[in-house]
Amino acid sequence: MKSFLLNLGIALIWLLLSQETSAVTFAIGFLIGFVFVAAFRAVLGSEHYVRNSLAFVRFVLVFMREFLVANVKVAWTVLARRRTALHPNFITYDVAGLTPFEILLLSYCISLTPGTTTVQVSDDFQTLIVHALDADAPDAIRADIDRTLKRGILSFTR
Amino acid sequence: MNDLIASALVLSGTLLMLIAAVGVVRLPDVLCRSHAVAKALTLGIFLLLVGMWVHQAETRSAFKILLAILFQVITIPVASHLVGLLALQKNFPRWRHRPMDDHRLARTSPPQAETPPRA
Repeated sequence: MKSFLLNLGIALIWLLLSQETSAVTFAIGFLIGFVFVAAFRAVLGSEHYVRNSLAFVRFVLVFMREFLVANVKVAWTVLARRRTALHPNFITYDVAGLTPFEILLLSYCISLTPGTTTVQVSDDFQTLIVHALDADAPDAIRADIDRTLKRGILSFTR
Repeated sequence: MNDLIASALVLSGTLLMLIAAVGVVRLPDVLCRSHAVAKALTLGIFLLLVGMWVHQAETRSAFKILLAILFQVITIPVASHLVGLLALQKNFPRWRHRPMDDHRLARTSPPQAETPPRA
């Protein structure tokens, strides 16, 4: 948190020093601030912040790729597949041990990645009910969510 | 060049929204339709707004467009989640509904009579 404020402060100073105030200038300032915080991480004690930020950027990239794949797949499903070829059903996904914020992020990402949407979060925050267009292999879907989404989210929230 | 990029973005965004609309007509039940809406509509609106941004090429409108993108991208999946939740709780007709084998699923929604699929 302290490292993030420092990073933000450097971005603000950069914004005030430069000629024009625009979103691009602020982004450059934030990047410079991040390089500074990363370079002196041993002194500032910001290893955790640097590591989580990089994990966050990596996750955003992975998520964007998944999101694009999802859109291509949905377009294919809508335009080319017959409805008799679909095998939709509900599957459960175990989210025991995650904080409510992590569950929120995860359910949000599940809705936007290929083949699955979140339908319900159980009242005790233990299971998600997910609707899949092709639910023939529920274990494969669970493993996929584990690999691409859950691991990525946990890598920057913890 | 800017115009070219802007038109490409706006056109592909519109195309995706068209696909979402076709999906609402073509896909068999509420839950399958929410797939099409959640994904294609989110990216469609995103591309449309980015196209607007490129077209205007003015920094002052950038923040407003960013805000619009943010709110759209945040709210569409939530809306699709709520539609899905309602469809599960009210037992709306489902395409090729199979008995739910998992006890956790069975607890949240009582077994229902098989609904005849639409033509």
